[in-house]
Amino acid sequence: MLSFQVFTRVEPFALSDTLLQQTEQGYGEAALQRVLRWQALINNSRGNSDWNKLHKANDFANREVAYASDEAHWGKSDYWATPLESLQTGAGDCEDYVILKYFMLRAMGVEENKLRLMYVRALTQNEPHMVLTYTEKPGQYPLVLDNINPKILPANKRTDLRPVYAFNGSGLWMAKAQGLGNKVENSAGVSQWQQLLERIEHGN
Amino acid sequence: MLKNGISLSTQFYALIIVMTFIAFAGSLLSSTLTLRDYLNSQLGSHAQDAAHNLGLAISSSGGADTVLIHTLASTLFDSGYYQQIRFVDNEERELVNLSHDNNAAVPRWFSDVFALQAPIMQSEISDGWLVLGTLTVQSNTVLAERSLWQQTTRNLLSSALLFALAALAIHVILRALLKPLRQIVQQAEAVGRKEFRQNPGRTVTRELNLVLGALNSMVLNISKVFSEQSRYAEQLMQQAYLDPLTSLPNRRALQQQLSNLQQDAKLNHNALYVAMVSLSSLQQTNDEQGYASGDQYVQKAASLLRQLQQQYPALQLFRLSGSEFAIIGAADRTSAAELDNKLIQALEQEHSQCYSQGFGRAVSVLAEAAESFSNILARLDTLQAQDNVQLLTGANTEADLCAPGRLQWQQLIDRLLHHNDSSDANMELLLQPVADQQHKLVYAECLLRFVVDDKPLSTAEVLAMAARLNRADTLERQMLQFILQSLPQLSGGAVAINISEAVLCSDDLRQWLLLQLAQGAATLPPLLVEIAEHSIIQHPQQAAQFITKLQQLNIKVVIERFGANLTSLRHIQHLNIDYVKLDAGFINDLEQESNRFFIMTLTQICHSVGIKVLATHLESIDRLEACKSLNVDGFQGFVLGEIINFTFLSKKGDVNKTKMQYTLKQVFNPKGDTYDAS
Repeated sequence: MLSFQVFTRVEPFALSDTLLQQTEQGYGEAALQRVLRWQALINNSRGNSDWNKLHKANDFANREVAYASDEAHWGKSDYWATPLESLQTGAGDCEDYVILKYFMLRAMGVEENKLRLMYVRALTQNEPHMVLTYTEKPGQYPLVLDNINPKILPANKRTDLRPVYAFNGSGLWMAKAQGLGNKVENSAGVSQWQQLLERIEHGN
Repeated sequence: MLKNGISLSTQFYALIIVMTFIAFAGSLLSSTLTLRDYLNSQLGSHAQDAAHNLGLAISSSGGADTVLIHTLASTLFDSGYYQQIRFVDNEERELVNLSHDNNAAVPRWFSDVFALQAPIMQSEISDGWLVLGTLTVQSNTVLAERSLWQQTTRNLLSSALLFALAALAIHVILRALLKPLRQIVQQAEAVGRKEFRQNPGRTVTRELNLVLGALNSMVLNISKVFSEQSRYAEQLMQQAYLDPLTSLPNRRALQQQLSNLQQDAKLNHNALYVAMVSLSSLQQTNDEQGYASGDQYVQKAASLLRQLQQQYPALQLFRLSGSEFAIIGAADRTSAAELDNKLIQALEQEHSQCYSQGFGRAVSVLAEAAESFSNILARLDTLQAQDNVQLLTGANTEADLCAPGRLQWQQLIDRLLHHNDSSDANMELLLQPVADQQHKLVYAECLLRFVVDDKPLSTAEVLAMAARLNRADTLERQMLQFILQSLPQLSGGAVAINISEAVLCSDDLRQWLLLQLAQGAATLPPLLVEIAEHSIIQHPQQAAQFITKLQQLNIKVVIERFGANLTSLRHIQHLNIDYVKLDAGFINDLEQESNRFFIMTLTQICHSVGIKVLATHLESIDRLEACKSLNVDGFQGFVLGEIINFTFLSKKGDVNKTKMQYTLKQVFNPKGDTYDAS
């Protein structure tokens, strides 16, 4: 099982044999190779600087995953794929890139409070978009990891994007921690983020 | 209660109440906890929604500053649904803090036990790309707490209602289920009291029906065996002691009862009148007219003598041999002479041609108190042989008919009665042991002796005189009081008290005695009560009630002089007694094979219903051994040990320090049993 706890431990990041087998049987040799490269990249980048990690994760995601809209790829209007799903299928939309990059960076050891998932408006295409931001120090302009422009740039250089709202992945875990130790869930309006975490915890 | 265990129904009720209570309490607790968790999660998502919405509103308004944040936060906060809204900037400075003091909406203990913890949710506020700080929001728990409290009280009420309904239903069902069990218990208790009754009830429970059936057939069998054996024993007894032709008691019966009759006569200060009637022509009738005619002759004589006997209740009629009848009873000289005359007249009236030797001849003597049976018969034979028709009642007795005068007795008895102080009561308490097969002491029988001016008087004589002077009740009460006052000094074994017929006759005396026994229960040694069989036969209802009351006080009951009446067994079947003490007559006549067989049968019958058999008047080792071999359970008599004078011993020394050795004779128990007075 690919538990979320995997990211917070210093142990080597290793997918179970079962998961690897399933990947090969369900998605073919190419998918297996992508997943294995992902695993190797994470384990090899642990000691690197954040700068290096950012580039490796950004490049890996932009290279290995081809852009595909949720409608075309999953048959749903808005589907947040888990990192493994994105790699197995080798495709995803902007959220899937962000999620893949977020979890890779967390697994490599980048601090949680430096990362934000950010809703933005892509002015060129004039459509809603999502990017991952990295803030070195509070008050500074963050670096933007994007799949439209694969180059990592400070936010103030990205005039093609207008920020709307950012959220911190940890906020949900904080809520979890303070919520009597139980998961903050409600069946009526489970957020995409929570669904995603659940799916990750259940090994997809 | 715990001595006999806890009743099944109590255990059932306790179990079901505990289980139901746990079930209801558990479900109540669980539903409250579930609701609490649900409310907590609702509070969390409510707060998170607010945090995000507020964050989004502020971030997208452009040019966010503290005033804007404060204004927008207040807008949300003033709705009252939030406990706290804070905004902290990147340098951890608190720029906005809005919070409520909550009024308790539910009892304090409840909010302590089921505390709602609204999670603190947060979002970030940014101005464009730059994060300004963190907004935290916590929902207000008051509304949620109130609804938790209301829901819980509603649940509690409905649980209590259901609990009550369930308890009622269970009670009704259990009652129905356990009813046969109660019947079985009652039946078992009845068997314990030697009442063999059937239980008619049937139930829906198969197992209980099986038990009921088994118990019923067992009870039926016991009662059948008992009545068969009793009938058989009575037959045996009748065969042994009744003459089949005339249904009169036979020579052996006379032999057995002679000493009793002699004693009775002496107590009444009368001589014992013994008349013998011989049918002079019987031999001839048999020879000439055949045995059928001979039998008719005998029956005719028997009914003649029976008519005569019925006029004198003190007299008893026996058929001694083929041609001889005996009439025996207490009589003074005058009535003896009168009897003689009547006898002669009656016999002469029957004289006719048919009886060439005469219908019958009668001779009579007045027997002495201790005169042996054979001696009396010898004297009668001599008279017969003298061919002298005139009866010689007057001349042949040396019986001592002198006795203290009536006035003297009255004074004596008054003297006995007017001693309230037990230390000088003119009475002495004697103890005689009863031992079992294992040579262990079963109990000691209390015997009472009257002592006036240091001279012992015969107890039987004093009692008889008291009865004649209408003082029997008072004297009996005096005696029992003396015994009950002496007994607390005795310890180490059970003690039996004799109860006379006077107690069964008098309701007052019985009430008084039962009260004394109940009040003295703490200080008295374990008690038994001995009641003579003839007293029970005389007063069957009073005896049965009295015995039931005694058993309730844990006092065991012994029937003494058991078997003196030929229908004894019929009477004991429905009495809840513990021991029977065989009539001394059986022991005196142990050499008879049929008598031994009878004792064995009697013992078997008694054992079949849980009654133990005691033998008394054992004065030789041979008799003791004979009784042992007949399965008798307990033994009493001089062969076992001396009677000890308890009153004398306790007066002689300091009772508190005297340890009284009560030694059964060496033959019985080399070590000896001890009887302590402490």
